[in-house]
Amino acid sequence: MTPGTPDVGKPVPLLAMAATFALGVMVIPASLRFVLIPAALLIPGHAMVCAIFGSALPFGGFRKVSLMIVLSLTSYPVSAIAAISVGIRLTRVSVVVTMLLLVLVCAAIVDFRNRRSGDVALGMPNGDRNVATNGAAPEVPVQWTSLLVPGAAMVLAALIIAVSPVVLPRASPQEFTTFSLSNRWSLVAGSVPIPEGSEPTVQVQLVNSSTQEQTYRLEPSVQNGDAWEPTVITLAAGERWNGSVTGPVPASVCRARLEIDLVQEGSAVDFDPLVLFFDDPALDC
Amino acid sequence: MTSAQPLVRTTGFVRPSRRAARDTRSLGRSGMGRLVALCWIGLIVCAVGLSWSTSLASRAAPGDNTHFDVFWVSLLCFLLPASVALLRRNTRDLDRVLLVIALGLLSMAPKYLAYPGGPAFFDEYAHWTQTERLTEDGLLFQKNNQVVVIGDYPAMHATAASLRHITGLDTYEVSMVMLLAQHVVSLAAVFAIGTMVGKSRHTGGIAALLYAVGPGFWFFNAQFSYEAYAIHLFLWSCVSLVHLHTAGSTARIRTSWLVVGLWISFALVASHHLSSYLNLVVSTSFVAAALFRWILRRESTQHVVEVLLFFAVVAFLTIWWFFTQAPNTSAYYTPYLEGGASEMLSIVESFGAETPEIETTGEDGAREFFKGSTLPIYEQLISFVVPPLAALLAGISFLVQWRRGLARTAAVAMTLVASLYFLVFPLMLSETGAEGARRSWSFTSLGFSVLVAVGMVSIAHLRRRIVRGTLLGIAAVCIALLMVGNVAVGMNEVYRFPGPYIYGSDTRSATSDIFSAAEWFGDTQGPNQTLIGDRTTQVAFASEARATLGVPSAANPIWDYTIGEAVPSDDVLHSTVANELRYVVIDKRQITAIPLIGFYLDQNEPLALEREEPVGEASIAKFDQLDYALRIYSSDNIVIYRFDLGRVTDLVSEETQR
Repeated sequence: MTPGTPDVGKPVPLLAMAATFALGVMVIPASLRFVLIPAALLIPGHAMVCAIFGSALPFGGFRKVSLMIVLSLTSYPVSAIAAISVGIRLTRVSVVVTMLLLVLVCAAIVDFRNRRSGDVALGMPNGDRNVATNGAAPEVPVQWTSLLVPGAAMVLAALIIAVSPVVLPRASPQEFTTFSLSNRWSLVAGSVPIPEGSEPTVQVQLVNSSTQEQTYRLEPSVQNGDAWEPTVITLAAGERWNGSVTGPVPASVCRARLEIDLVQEGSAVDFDPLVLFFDDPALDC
Repeated sequence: MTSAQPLVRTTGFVRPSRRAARDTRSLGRSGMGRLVALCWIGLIVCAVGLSWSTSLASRAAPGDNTHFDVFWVSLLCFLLPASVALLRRNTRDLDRVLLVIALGLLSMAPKYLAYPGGPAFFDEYAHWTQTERLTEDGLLFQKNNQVVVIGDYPAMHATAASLRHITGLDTYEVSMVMLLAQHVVSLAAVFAIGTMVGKSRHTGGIAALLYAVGPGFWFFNAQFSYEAYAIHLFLWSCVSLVHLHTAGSTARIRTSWLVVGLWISFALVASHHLSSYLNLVVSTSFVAAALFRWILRRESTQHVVEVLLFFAVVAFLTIWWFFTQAPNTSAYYTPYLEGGASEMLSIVESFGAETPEIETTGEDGAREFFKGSTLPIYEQLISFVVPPLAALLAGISFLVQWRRGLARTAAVAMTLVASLYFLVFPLMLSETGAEGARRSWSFTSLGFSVLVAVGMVSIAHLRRRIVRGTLLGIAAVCIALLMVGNVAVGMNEVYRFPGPYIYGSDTRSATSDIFSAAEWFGDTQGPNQTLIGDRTTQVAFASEARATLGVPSAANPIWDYTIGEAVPSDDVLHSTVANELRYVVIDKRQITAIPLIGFYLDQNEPLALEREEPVGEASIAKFDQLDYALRIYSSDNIVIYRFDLGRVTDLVSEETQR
């Protein structure tokens, strides 16, 4: 670029920045990629600001950074809609590729602008010129030290707010017990065929999601059949039990109803029993 | 470029003007340094206080409102000195910018503190799930039965999913990053508009402050939703429009802003239905303002043509999206429009009656303000003060502008937008209309903020120190009142603070046992299983277990499975087979309380919003008689049934044969 002409950005640094960012997205492990948040919020927007405004943006600093963030946030959905319209799904690779394409287009525009600015410097005809650099008051550099106190206050306030849900007392967590069919039995979709004389073994899961040890009793029973053996289980706080109940199913019965009831010692909770149905395959149920 | 504090281009963080530099030197003399220091101390005190108020709220006994008091005292520790600092003329530009940034970041704190770690508001679950699904399958425009319309507007989900891919963060963490950024850039947009309209950063800072204390900014727009995402795009679309009218800018700059405005408007159209329509309404205000001033020969034809071009393209994009990309939007809006119209009609008719009883009886579709509210009485009272106070401030500010001769098109346009803010106040009288009015305020309060900022700036220019100081103090108090009233009108307690379990309250009814059941369901039954439950269990199962939700309607009353006290009818069974509805989730607490939200599952269900007693015990006992309902999961409160669809099919065909 010819000295003295407006600085509208340079395409090579733009592309290098975007390429480095893209490489970071593809190479850095997921657990560390949070370091790319500022780049994700700024790089596409920066490229667009350079391409659209050149040096004509009538403000800088806070508002310029804000505009870059807004344009970055809009670049992702617009790219995604464009990609999906040609059949490309949203994946990490497609996000990176569309972002690189966007920056490439922006860099091409910047390069075109730079060449035009060079032509102007050489006396070639030109349209509008940048007003932001014309007659502007001298720049007053920001005193970065004056950011220390506000910055420290904001960081401290953010820290206090971030950790307070963990540090300050809150209402006790909810305590409850869950019991359910487990393994293949949880997928039973209808009446289970049980040949006469065989005893099904129904797998059950029990979870004590309370803060203290609990004792439970599983009481299975089949409608119009012999009682099954109850099971007593003691679970520590947060402990999980995977086991089974077994017993006979009455012969020659369609849709024999099995109920597995749960009783929690020292508790008034009325659990609804688990319910299954059994068929005798010898019958036309 | 400005009269008071000239805008200067620089490569630094902000561009202090000569005046600002002079002000910096006189800091000690003016005491502004101490005031700004007080702001930063206030910010830390505020952070501690807000955290404490949330802790108190989560353990509060019914009727104890201490957490409200702590919340407001803490917030005012920062808001009052920050208001005074932004209202005063000799505050440094850098401090104005930093205070606005702090305000933007702080506005996310109450929502985070109340419900940290995951989605909490009803819509948030839908958007969270949509983003998760998009991250997994990469497909846009996918249907979501929880909020049927969000599949038509994928921009926010695409942004969040892209950021997830880039940063490796989970959806909640990405949502926090996005919301923090959105809140700051929203205030930056208002700051920019105020600066351009008032020709000083002083006006810009006050406008940003007024917008920050405006409706929705602290809670509603702090949720991870497409509307909160769209608002910052709307504001930056307005920045582009204001720049199109900026006198002295060249054709190239205006063309650049036209491109930016249209780009942002396209993203906005793909983000949220209501926001895109309001963007069109505000564009219309700019067109009207430009034409008005053009007729008075105060606006160039070129500017008018440019703003007309902007409007035409945005209108085309909005209409094109509505008809080609958003097939669910029309059906989504119809009940709201019909309900709102019939309620307003009833209210108008009741005015004609001999003894209108609008605010006391709630008859004829009229609202009872703060009915059953747990908000403290001072919040409720202040919320009634806000409309006349806002009207007074806007009226005085309009007179200030009028005396200046309505010198700028952008200022006229902002005044028109501010008038829309007041025009929808009557809608607050109707239940459906109130929702629409509240939603629109997040947009139209931009006009109010800019208009009032122009008026408030005048206070700082008064010559008599005592008068100036008194009026600045009054203005700061007015800002505090606006903040309290707007928050009270916008959100009830259960959305603002954690606390004890309340059935059907969205935020406080989504308990650990529901999510534990959903997790078990997802692990054992797999994704995309069709189920029906109540409003709360459905959001938990849709998000945690990726369940597909049955869509109830008057023609398909599948709520009979959850709240019906009789066994489901043959028609419902038929629909069950047709829709392959396999699972029902029952929260046994449904027989203990009426849902706070007014309905169990859907607003079309029987006795929705009219129920005075909870459903009976038969609603949870009916499954004991059914031989096609397998009870596969049970806990203290949650029961999951799996239907034997073969048996249901047999029953349906037997009935058909009969």
